Amino acid sequence: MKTFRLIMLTAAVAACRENVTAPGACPDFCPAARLETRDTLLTSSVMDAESYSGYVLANGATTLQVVSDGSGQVSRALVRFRAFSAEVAEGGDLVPVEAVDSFRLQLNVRRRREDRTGYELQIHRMPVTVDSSTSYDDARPYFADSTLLATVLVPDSVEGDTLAAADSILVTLPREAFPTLEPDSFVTAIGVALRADQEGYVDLAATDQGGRGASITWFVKIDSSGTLVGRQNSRLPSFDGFVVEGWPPGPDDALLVGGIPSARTFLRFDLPPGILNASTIVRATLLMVPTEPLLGAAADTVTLVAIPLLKDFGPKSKPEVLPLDTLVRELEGLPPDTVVREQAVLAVGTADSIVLDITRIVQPWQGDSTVSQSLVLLLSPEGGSIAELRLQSPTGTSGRPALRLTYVPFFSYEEPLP
Amino acid sequence: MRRRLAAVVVLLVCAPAPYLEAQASVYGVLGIGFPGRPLSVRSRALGGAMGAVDAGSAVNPAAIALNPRLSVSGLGETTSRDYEARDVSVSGLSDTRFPFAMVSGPIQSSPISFGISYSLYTERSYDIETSGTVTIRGEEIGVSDRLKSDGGIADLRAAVAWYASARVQAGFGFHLLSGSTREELEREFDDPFYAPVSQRGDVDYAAWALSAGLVFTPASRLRLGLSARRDSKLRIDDALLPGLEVQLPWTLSASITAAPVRSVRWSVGGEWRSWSSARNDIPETVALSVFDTWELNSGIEFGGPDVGSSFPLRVGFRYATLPFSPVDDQPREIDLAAGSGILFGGNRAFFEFAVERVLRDGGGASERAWQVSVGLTLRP
Repeated sequence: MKTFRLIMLTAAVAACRENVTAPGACPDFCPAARLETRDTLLTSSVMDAESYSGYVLANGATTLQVVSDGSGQVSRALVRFRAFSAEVAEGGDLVPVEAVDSFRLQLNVRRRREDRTGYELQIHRMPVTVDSSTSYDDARPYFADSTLLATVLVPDSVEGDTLAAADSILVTLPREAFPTLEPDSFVTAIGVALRADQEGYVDLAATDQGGRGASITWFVKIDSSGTLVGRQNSRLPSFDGFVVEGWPPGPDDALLVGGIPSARTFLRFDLPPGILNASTIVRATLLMVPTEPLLGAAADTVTLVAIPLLKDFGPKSKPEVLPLDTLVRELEGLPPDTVVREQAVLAVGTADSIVLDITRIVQPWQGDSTVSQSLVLLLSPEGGSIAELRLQSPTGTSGRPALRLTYVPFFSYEEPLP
Repeated sequence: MRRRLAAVVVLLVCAPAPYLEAQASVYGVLGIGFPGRPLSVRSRALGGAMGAVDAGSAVNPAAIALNPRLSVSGLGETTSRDYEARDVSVSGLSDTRFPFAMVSGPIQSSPISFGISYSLYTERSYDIETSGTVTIRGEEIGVSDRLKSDGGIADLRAAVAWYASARVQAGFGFHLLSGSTREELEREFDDPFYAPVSQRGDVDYAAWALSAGLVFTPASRLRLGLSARRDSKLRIDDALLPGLEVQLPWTLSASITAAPVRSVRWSVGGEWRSWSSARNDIPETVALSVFDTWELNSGIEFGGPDVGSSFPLRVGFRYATLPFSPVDDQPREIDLAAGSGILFGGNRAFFEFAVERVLRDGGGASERAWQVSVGLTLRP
C-alpha cells in the first residue's frame, strides 16, 4: 500500500505542474483569429455641442490671476479682509485698542511667468465696498498713485505650481495705509496690480485654495495695567477675486471654454453601433479647431480638461459628476479618485488644432447603453485664469470637432474556420 | 480505504470539466482541435490495439457486454512536450487532463449491459504568444498578442450491449457531443497611448452520433471486435457567427486479440475516420488541409487479471495519421507505449498506468511528447 500511495503522490505532483504557454509559430500553427486594428476619423460623430458660462466666478476660484499691462487684457486682484475688532482680549477681559502701529500683509504666490524676472506687485488701497459685483471699470480708478500703498518685488525663487512657505510675500504697511479704518468699521481692502517691463502674470493663492489666501495682521497698542503694550491680530479675506477687461467678442457660434466667469462646453457624441457594440476601442482622440488663438495672459499655459458625464443633464450636469472637492484635489496634484479626466496643456496664443486623447472617457461608452456619450470641456485652473478658448462648433462649415478612433473589432475564431 | 478509492474514482468520473485546461498538441490549434481517444489505460498501454474489444474503452459499444461486473473507472493524463514548428522551437510544455471516465456493467442477471462514458472528442486548448508590429495612424507600433483557448468537445456515450452468447455480443451507442471553448485574445501595444485589448468569448459546440458494434469470439483465445460510428454535423455557435456547421467523420474500428499462450495476449487494431468530409464545410479561402485518418496498432499484454495475475505488463505500438494540417503534408504520429497495473483491495480495485512516447511529424511541425496516464478501476 505504501507503494501505491507513493505512486499516487508522484502522479498528483506531476499533474499539478502546468506550463502551456508557448510562442506561436504563425501563421501555420496559430489560430485563424486575428486581432485587426482599425483606425477611422469620424467627422460627424459630435452630434451636438453647447457652451454655458458662469460655473466658477472670479471670487470662487483657487487662484487670483494678476496680469500686467501689455497687448492683452489686464487683470487685477481685489481682496477685502474681515473686520478687526476695536477691542483685544487681554487676561480674560476685552481691552480697547489704544493705537494702531502698523499692518503686515501676506500674499501667497502660486505661479508666475517664469521666463521673465523683475515683476512687481503694486498694492493699492481699495474701498471696502468691493465685492463680486465690482467690475474692472469700477475698480480701475482706485489703481492710482494716490492709493498706492506699497510696491514689492515678486521673488524669482517662485517656480512651479506649488505653494511653499518661500512663496509668501510679506509687506509692512504704515498705520496711515488705511486712514478710514475706524469709519470703515475696521475693515480693510486692497487691490493688487502687476507692473512689469514685459507682459506677464502672477497667480496669487485665493482663500478658496484651502485657506492659503492673503491675510492681514495689525499691530496695536493696548493699556495693560497702565502700560502700553503691543498686541497683534490677523484677519483672512471675507472676499477675494479679480477683475479683468473683457475679451473682444468672438464668432456667435463659437464654443467657449474657460474665461471669467468660467465657461464649459458640452459635447455629445453618437458613435456608430458597429464600433460601439462590436469592438474594443484602444484609442480615441478628439480633434478640435480653435476659431482664434488661445486668449490669455502672455506665456501662460492652461490645461484643457475633458471629463465624462455619466448622466447628461445639460448645463446642470456639473454637480452630479464633478464634485468640487474631487476637482480641487486633482488640481492640487493629489491622486485622482473615481473621476476620469483627460487633459492637454495649451499655451496661450496657440492657434494649432487641439488634439486631446479621450480614450478612458470613450471606453465606458461600450457595453453600457445607460452611460451618456457626453463629456464636458473646461480649463484648469477653472475660474482662476483669464484664459479663454474658442472652438469651432459642429454646426460650422469647416473645422468641426471630429473623433479619431482606433479600435479592434471583436474576434471570431470560426471565421474563417481555423 | 475503499471509500477513499471510490471517492477518487467518482471525482474522476464526475468531473468532466467543461474547460479542460490543457493543451494536447501543437496540432490542436488546427481545425476543430486535436482528436481524443476514448481508451482505457489498458488500451493506451497496448497502443490502442484492443480498443474495439476492450470493455473498459468506449470504442465499441458491444464490448461492454464483456464486463461481468459493475465497474467504475477513470483516468488522468499528464503530457510533457517539445515541438518545433517553422522557425519556432518550444520545450518544457506540460499539462494535465482527464480524458476518460466510464461506468458500465450488466443489468442484474440479464444479458443486457449498460455503459455510460465520458471521453475527449477533440481538444482545442492552447495558449500562444506572438509579437509583431502594426501600422496605426501612419506609425509602426509594436504589439504583443496572446491567443488563448480553453476547452474542447466532450463525447458522452450511453450504450447498451447484448450478451447474445459466449461467442457473440452486440451493442449500440448514442453519443452526445457537447462542449465549449473559452476564447481569449489579448493585445498590448508598445505605445502607451493605445489601451490594451482583452476580448473574451465562448464558442459552443454540439453534435450527436450513433455507434454500433459487434464482438465475436470464435475460439477461446481469439476475439474480434468491429464497430462503426456515424457523427452528425458539428454545430459551432459563436456569438458573432451563429449556426456554422461542420461535418464530423464516419469511424470504423477493428481489433483482434489472440492469446497464443494463456498468459500472453497479442492485439492488433485499426481505425479509419473520414475527416475529409469536413472540407466541404470549410471556406475555400481557409488554408487548412483536412485528411481522412488511418490508425494501425499492435500490443502485447503479459499476465493481467483476466489470467489470474495481479501485475500485468503491456507494450504497444501505434501509427496514426492526423486530420488537420496547414499544408498538403498530412501529419502523422507514432506512439511507443508501455504500462502495467496492480490489483488491490481484495481484487476490487485496479490501479493502472501507461507511459507513451509520442512522435509527431508533418505539416511543417515536429513534436515529441511523453504521456503518462494513470487510471483507477473499481469493481464494488
